[in-house]
Amino acid sequence: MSASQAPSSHYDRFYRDHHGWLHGWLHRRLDCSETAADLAHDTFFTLLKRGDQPDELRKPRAFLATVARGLVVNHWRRQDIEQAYLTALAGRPERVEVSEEERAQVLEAIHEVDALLRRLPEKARRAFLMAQFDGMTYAAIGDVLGVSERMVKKYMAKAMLHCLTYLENR
Amino acid sequence: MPAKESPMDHAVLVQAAEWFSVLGSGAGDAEHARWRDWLAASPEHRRAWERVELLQQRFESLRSEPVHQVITSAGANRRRVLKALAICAVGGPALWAASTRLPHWQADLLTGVGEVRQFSLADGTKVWLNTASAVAVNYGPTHRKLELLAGEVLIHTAPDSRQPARPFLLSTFAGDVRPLGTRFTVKEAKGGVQVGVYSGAVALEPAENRIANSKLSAGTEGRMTQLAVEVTGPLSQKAPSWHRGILKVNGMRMDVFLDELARYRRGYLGYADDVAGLRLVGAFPLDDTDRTLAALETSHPVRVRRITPWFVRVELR
Repeated sequence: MSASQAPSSHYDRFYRDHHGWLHGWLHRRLDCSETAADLAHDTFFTLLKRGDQPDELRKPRAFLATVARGLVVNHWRRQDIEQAYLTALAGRPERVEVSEEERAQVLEAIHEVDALLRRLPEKARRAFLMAQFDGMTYAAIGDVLGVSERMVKKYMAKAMLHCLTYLENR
Repeated sequence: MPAKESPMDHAVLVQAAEWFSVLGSGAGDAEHARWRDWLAASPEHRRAWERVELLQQRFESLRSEPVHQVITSAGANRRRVLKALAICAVGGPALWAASTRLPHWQADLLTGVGEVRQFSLADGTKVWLNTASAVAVNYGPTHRKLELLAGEVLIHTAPDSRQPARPFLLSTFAGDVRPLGTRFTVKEAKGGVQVGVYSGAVALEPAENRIANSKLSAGTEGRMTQLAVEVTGPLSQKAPSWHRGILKVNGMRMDVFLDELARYRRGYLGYADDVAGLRLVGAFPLDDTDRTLAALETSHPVRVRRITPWFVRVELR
């Protein structure tokens, strides 16, 4: 962000008035002061990016909590993904040496895929994952999901359209 | 990706996604030939296809990773989390988003300017948020409570899955709205809220004058301030349309229309006094307000002056 877009004095006051409270609110839910501080910062930043006028918010704390709750869910989701990734790696028969950096990159890419597919209906998401990452044919996917091949084809189109629109709007 | 690329036509993205699905099904030569014809037909088709390929390359780089396993096994946890919050974000046709949307807000009842989203709550109640809106959800063992913090919401309540059924309440700064098995909209408007009831009925209770409570039945529209409720008339439309990304009007004044459209845009949208009284009929897309403004220029004697992308004024031609 450039200097000319520095937060106005409204934001300054808003931040001073509510930051301590928000940090406490997050800390109670996260059991980790550092993460709570990060997410508190992200909450204010989200508000700033949205262009909300803090002095126009009638219930600023309820509003902050609504934004923060979304960030908490996202944070938990990332943790779940990380945990699942480590578990999957541990269960692999061949132990290829992977550097920390490579691992972090792969994890970030998985987070991205997860965010991309998160809002798809369950079956369309699973069909897409099986086709793209497990290299399964539509017939095989249909067997697993208990639907026709035609249906799998529909799921694939739906999932791809979802991804394209998501990227388009980002 | 370049910062300022013109947006893709949704219909072309639909076609590209269809082709992706067809080619992935082990299509034959004839289908490949048809796909090449489609590609050759327009540069926009090729632009859309490039995006499909870009995505596929990204996925390709993860081919040796347990992506499917990780995402699905972490999903079990996620469902627990979302259930705990009684929220589940739903995709679908109502999903078109503001350009500044951040991925984190995905599990939240919150929309940016120009964004409309549908959410399903744990009890099956469906909630649509209009542009720049926020709703806090508070479901407990004995209550189902939503609070409108900003903007406009369409609610389609479901009978509670629990027994005994928990009462449902939407609170607003002006007062409480209690639906009685229903579909209704509530929108913040200067000094109060505007309520439209599409089916069933709702009870309204002004915050500072609880005894002035009043009931609105299906097909009517009313206004609640902190002190009073008044019925303002029959609904102008049989069903809301904004949750489908469309603004339907039938004889709406231009000034009212432009004020409405301004809610979906960042920056200033103004108009000259002499266009205010013009009347509009039709269905206008809300996801591309620039296109809607351009359409006005062909259907009405007006011109749209773009002083900057953020400062637009509609004047008589």
